[in-house]
Amino acid sequence: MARGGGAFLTSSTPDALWSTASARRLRPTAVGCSGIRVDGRLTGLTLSVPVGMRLLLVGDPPTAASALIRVLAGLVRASAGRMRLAGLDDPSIDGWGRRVAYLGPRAGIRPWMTPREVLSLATDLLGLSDPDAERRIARALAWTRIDPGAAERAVRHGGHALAERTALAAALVGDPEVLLLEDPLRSVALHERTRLLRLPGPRRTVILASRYPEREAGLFSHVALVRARGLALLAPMAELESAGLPLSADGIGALARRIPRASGPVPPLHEAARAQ
Amino acid sequence: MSHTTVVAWLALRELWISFRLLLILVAFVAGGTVATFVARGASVTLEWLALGLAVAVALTGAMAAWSMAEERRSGRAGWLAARSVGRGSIVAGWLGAFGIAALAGLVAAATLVWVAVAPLLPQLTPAGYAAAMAAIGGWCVTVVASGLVVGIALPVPLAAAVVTGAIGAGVVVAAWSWSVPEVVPGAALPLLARAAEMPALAGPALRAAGMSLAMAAVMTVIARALLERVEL
Repeated sequence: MARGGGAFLTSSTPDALWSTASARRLRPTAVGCSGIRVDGRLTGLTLSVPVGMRLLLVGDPPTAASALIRVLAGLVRASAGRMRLAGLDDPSIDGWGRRVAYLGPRAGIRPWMTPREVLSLATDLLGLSDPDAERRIARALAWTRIDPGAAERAVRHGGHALAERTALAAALVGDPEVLLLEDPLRSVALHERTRLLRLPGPRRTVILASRYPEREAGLFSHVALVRARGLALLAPMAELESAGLPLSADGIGALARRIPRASGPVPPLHEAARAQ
Repeated sequence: MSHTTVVAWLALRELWISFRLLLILVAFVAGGTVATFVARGASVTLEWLALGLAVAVALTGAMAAWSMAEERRSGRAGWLAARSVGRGSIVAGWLGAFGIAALAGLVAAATLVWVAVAPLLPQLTPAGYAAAMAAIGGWCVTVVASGLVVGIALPVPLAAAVVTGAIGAGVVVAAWSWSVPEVVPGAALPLLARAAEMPALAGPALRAAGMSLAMAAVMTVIARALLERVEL
């Protein structure tokens, strides 16, 4: 969010409020879940992610992290457990549905639609008014660098990369407080992918499940290791660096073995925000 | 606009762009056209119409299965679900889209045949004929809903094959005997085939329509329940 280029996808909550000392002390939880069970992939996972954290999830096995993201996004039904996202228990559009967005490995975009049509559909489903929708669509297209010509042509003409950019724009158009990512933007060049995922906004919580953590360098403030039976590690990215371990599945696994108990203290809000 | 309407409109556009809508319409109209211009004799025309409609309905069911399986595989159903579109709305939207396409084709085929056979079969009343077509329409909705169930449960090619095979087998059995109890969904086809010999078609056809619609409702509920459980 591009500060300098104008605020990108702002929410109605004033920045000043989020920067107050009381907000930092309260450390509101953006994503909270407990006892999540998903057909053997997760068997009772509990996790609490404060507002503003940029969290890299690595699974051991990799399906564990994906399963968690997909449960939070509503694509997989948990057989047990409780979830609370953006401070709400209700997953409908009147609950957290409007505040949470998901982008996965499959763009899910109909190839005959134009990026603008996809974004219009996304804003319609969010129930945004026309002027507001137009503003948000223009900003999302600008962030994802979909030029006006490409925005009016069918997505199939732009290949997978355009479909993935469009999917990201559709996820951002609602200005989500929580962005859930699962190995996104596979077809986009690495440097551009990094730029696209470096989403500004101190109160935006981003959780990304990755099979290739090496690709996510510089994007996240914290890292977590998810195993089927629970969370094995939740630590600031700096701990990985200070331990001299690489940002890789093996490095994160080694850090988890050094820190005996999972889920260290929840970091202060300002710390998570600074990591952007 | 409700989420179901949004999904139905998207599905109709998807069917149109991919020529599936055209294929459905052509299948129904071809059934009516062949029966009208190739079959000899009014009673034979109705038999051919019944067979033609059976083939068109089987094709529609297979496409429903294929479409739903493809929606899941491609992540498009997940895209909608991640935007709080209810899974029930996804089922209802696709059912509506296929229903609209199939019913439009059915009305065209039925009208064509009616124009040809009505003067030759005075005992065939408009009400009886319309009731038979309503029953076939109800059966078509049942088949589409069954196709959605299969498409939710199975991967793409298998889903279409299962629906086509099941309906094809049913049609062969029905065509062999032309006598199916009215309580069986699809009984309208034998009724239509024997319409020239039946003094009162409306009553049995309406009972068949009722049974078909009831079965369609059951299959829709099953499709919704199944989609609620699967991963998108």
